[in-house]
Amino acid sequence: MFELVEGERGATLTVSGELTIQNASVFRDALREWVEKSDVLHLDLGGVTDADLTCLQLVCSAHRSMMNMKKNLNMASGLPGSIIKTAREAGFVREHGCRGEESNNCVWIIRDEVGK
Amino acid sequence: MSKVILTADDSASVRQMVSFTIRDAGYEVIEAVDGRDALAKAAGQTIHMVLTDLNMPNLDGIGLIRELRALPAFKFIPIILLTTESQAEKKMEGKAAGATGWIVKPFKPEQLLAVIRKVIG
Amino acid sequence: MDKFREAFREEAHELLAELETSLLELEKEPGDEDLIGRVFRAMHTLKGSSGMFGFDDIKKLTHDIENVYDMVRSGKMAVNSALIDMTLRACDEVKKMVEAEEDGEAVPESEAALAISGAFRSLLEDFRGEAKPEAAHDGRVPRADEEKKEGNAHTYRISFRPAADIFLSGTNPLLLLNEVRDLGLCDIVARTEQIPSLNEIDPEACYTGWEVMLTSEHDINAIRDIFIFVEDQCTLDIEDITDDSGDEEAREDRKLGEILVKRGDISEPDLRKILDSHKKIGEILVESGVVGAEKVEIALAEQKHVREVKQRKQVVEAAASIRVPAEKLDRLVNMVGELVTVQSRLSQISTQRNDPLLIQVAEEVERLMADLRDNTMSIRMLAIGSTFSRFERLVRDLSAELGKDIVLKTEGAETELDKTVIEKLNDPLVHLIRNCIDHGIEAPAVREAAGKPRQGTVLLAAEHAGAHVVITIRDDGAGLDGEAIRAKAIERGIIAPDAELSERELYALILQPGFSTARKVTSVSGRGVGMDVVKKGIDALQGTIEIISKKGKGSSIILKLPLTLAIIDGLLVRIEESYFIMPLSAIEECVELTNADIARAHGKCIAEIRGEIVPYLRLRDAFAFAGQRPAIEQIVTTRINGGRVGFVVDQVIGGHQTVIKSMGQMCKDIKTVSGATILGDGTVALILDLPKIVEQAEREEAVGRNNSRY
Repeated sequence: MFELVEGERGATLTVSGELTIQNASVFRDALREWVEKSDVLHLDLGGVTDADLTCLQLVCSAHRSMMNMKKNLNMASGLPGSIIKTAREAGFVREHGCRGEESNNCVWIIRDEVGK
Repeated sequence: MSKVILTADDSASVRQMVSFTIRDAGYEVIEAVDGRDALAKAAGQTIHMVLTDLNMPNLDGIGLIRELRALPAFKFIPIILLTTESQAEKKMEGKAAGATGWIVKPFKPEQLLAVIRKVIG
Repeated sequence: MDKFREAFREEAHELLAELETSLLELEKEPGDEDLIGRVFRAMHTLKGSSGMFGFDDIKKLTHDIENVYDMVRSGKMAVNSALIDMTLRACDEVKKMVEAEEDGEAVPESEAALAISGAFRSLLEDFRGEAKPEAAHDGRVPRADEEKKEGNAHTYRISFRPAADIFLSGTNPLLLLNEVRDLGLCDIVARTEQIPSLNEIDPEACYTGWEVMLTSEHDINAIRDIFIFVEDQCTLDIEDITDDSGDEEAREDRKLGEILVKRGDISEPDLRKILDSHKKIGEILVESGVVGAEKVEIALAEQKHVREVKQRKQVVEAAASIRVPAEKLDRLVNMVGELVTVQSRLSQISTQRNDPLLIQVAEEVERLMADLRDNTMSIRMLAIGSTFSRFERLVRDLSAELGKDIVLKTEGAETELDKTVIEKLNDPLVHLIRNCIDHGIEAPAVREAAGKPRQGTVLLAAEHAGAHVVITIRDDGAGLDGEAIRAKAIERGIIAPDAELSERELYALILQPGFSTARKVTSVSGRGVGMDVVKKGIDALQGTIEIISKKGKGSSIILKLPLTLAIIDGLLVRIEESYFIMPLSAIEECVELTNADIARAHGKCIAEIRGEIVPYLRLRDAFAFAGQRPAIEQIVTTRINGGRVGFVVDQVIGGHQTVIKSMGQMCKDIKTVSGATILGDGTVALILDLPKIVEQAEREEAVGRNNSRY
């Protein structure tokens, strides 16, 4: 469910399948390893079919970890419906990021294309 | 794919009522006559939720919850304890053992379904 | 439930037998824990199941015994033969109760049972010293049917932070949030500030908390009940922040800063300092680090929520309605009708007097009157949707009965129609929809063979067209078979074998009495009486029916109905000094009829209009006027029952919108007149029922000339 491709413009971590609590530890380990190794990490969650709160927390955590290290986490290919749905249910979707000036980097600023 | 619910109760009539109610609501049911039976039937199955009676021969509800929680596949699965009102302290014991919640007997089919929906959506 | 009760009885017998054995063994080995456990469990199961299946007397009795054996089990009480004896007697009582229920008698609570119950209870009390309040935790069990709180909606601010290990109890907090959402208007913002970096995070722990704004008619206990399973595994604060002062403006538009102060996220002086600069307050607060971005987000959500609640409230207020009895409305409509008449007299008089002042007033009255009339009529209007929804059930049941797969789609449910029209439309629509299901849409296998989807569709659509409402019932079934209709019509003697009919006229034949194309009689559409009943119903509503069909593709039946029965659009005509109204819906055109025309027709009552031969009848004959007919008469041609018929009158005066007055009991046998109206000058004009006039003329002709049409 995890696949990593290293490219010129940073590594891309592609995740597919269910990102639920059963897989949370594996997901954390994958993130930790590649956040450590890369300056720019592209995270492609397009193939995630199911997500729960632990998935949202880990994405937040990865984003924060990289910002603290002055690195860049970039969400590739947009978020899949499964994650957007969970993010809405969990009240993660917001207007502004949690870091003030770096606001616009927040993963959870999802403009209402589809409506609620 | 319909969700699978494992129900353990030593009372045949309660088991029948519970199974009928949840099957009717579109869930799949695996019936067990006591805790040990439930544990045996849980092995290797994908189960989304467990409903267990408290007092059962061989392995009771609390024991079953402890055993299930020790299995990786059941670490985060909702487990509902069927209790009677005289067992308030058992409810707490059940929670401590890892139960998600409880339903107090006697209950009506719709109350059972409300609790199921509450924990597995 | 009954079959569960049966299962319980069987189980109870087994349990009682087991109990007896265990008790007798226990008497011999009073210390055997395994035996004690078996007795306890049997009692417990009996209690649990009896309560579940409504055996309350058994439940009550076993409850006390179970408690005693619970004490025994935990070693607080010893087994002695007195206890065994008592328990065995209790078993006998339970057996009686089970059996009595089997015989279907209501069992009075036996004294023996009460005595046993009491004995066990006193045993308990002796040992416990005092009864312990065991139900403390049961005050709130999850209720499936929480009652809504009376009165208005309340707005709550809910803070919910689950314990880090919440997932280990199998709880998904998001489901709890969804339950909160179900209670009403809800805005939820997650607090994520505690989510640590990847090196510190426990992926299976919960770091998130939530701030929820909820506006709901449920009370605070309903909200607490949602969290009942996790109440010792979370911090939960629920605050009712409903503003009861009624001072809407003051609170609704509370500024962001004020919300933050109120929530305790920022102090008042800090806020004032910031307000002195001129940026958006949210941005400043975050940039200056006075308030965390998340807190601003939450306050913004609160602001948005309160605005939304306010908006909804306004919508609800706008939709507020009052109920009045229908007869009050009828009376109002009647009075407005009279007023319209009086007003047109006033207009007429004012024109005759030619007094500018009077004319001015009359015009004013006329304008107000028109508004008053339209408004009054609109009060009687109801959306047709309520009728539509009733048909969904009909379609479902009937298609199941016939083994067909049919879905009903509706359009224009919001289209408004006069209440009486809607009521009278019900039966015709039922017939039409039944016909679609029975005759129109084919069996699934037939449809599949024809390359159509298995599921047939019946569309029920309503739309406004001028002063009319057009209702279409369309199916995608087999369509009408023109040739079959023709053959059947000839067979039934409805048309002559050589009759030339347009497609439209052909289809209209199915509306004739006694016509049916269904191969067999079914319970669904009956014996072919359906369509002419429909026709009668629609005629009574001053409406028209048109049938369009394509073989293999389906048919449409189009009903055109007046918006209201209280007013009709009519054509005012005159014969000698009498005035008549002809309903405009059936009228096609007006042409002159001269003596020369009559001569050309060799005495037959037919006229050639635009190359078509149209039979006509003279209203002066139908109503037996004695005087001479004028040299030039006028024919009003109409389409009745799919055919053209002309009505000859002395003079066509013009269109006339009129309020219908019923004719009263005295005239109820006169079928050819459907009502009357009063003209501006006070003259009465009769409203003609044209199809009835044709029928009557045909009957008279048949009597006179034996069996030839026209």
